[in-house]
Amino acid sequence: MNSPKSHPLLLGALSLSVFFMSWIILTKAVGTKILPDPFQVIGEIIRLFKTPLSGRTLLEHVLFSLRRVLIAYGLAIVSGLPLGLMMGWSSLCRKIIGPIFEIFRPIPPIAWIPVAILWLGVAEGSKIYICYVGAFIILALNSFTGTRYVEPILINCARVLGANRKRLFLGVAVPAALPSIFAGLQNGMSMAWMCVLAAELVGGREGIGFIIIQGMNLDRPDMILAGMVVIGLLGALMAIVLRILEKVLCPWRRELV
Amino acid sequence: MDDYILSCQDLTVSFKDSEPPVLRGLTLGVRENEFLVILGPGQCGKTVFLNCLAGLQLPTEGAVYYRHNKVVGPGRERGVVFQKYALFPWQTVLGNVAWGLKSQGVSKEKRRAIALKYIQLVGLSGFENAYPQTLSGGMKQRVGLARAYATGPKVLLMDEPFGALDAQTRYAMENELLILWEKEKRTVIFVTNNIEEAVFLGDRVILMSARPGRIKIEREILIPHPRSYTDPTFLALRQEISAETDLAL
Repeated sequence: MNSPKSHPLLLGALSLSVFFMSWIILTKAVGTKILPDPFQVIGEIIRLFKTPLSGRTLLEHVLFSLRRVLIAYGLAIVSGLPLGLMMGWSSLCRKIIGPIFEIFRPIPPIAWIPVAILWLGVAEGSKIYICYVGAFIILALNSFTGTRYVEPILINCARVLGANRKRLFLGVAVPAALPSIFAGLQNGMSMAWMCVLAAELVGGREGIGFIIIQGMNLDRPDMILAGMVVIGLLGALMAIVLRILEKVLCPWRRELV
Repeated sequence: MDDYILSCQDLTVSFKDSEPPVLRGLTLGVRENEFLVILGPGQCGKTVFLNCLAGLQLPTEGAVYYRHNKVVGPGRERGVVFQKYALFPWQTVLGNVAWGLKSQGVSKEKRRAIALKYIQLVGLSGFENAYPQTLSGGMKQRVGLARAYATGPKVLLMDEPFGALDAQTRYAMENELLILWEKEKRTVIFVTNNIEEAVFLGDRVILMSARPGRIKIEREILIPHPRSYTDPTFLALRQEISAETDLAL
């Protein structure tokens, strides 16, 4: 007997085929008007690639969403990471910024949609802003907890080894926080995706959220599911990229797995 | 005072005014190249005492002196080996051992050369590029020893360095520590709660009492190395210290 552990690929393939089989059976039960089967969804994805929807092919819609997410994500990284690191490291920063941060933190990014549209219009600005808020909070929070809870013994050890304050921060606090920062990068990316969809659902002439809304308006469940599948695939792809990046930047973590 | 490399005068540490001090009125001098063992039950303030010597903890009253200079913080003349190893998980063995040298502004090639020397001395050649997670407890503490030695301190402060190891590894490490110490003589202040370890290693043993922590008795140990656990003098001394020790319950 082969143990399941030695065949992770086989096991994965098995679980996926069970999933698709169940899907197909479910489609048979409820009808394709409610739940299109996987082949219809794949067919729809291919159709959207070739035939423009509202003047744009699927690839162009994807690039629109991607652009929004990446701009917002980039802005969140350059602002959220330093802010979180500073709050974790300096108790003065924590005392000054902390209370303001605590007020903004619980506000769901989606709650920002109306004011974002009011301030920045229905064009790119407001959509990027909403994604930015979502990713920013998570990135700041994760880099904050990462630096805040560095083991005190490591700080003591570094002090004994003659580290000055700058090296304590860059040489101990930041690397110690890296795993937590990477968790934040992953969650922040998911959040940015979630937010771009919400923003596009509310008001957009392009993007994956727009495809889903169009599917709803045109009573085309296959189009809705096609949009969802594309999001899922893109999200998974980005998570993989981040995981590879983490393995390169935190090589000591690889040996734990 | 003049003969001592490291000393403390009326050292008192209290964290809360309402509670008795952790350490009360400790006065002690350590001679150059002496192997001094601080022995005491758990919670007797040994670690706090060592932190004071390291400059990580400032005393409430009294002071610590390195030669004639008052200790106000960590200094490169005092190295520390920590109980829980305190290795940087993101650094390899080589990176950990060379870490302190970078703060001293030593050039990269020189850092590497010094680190490799001490890695070899503690018997870890071949593990230079391993990360701490992949090492056993004994190996981790070898890295800790090499790292403390590498920065070239005059005094080594060891806080129950073998406390987390199993008995066999512990015994092997005690022997290796002595070999290393013979090769590269330093002043060592070694904290432990293990009487046998204290008598096996120390030139002098100081027994501390708990709450408040202060010196109870002090014994010079003149048995030549290598010492045997079954030597009658060893056993007698062990018995004597044991009788004086407060129960750690």
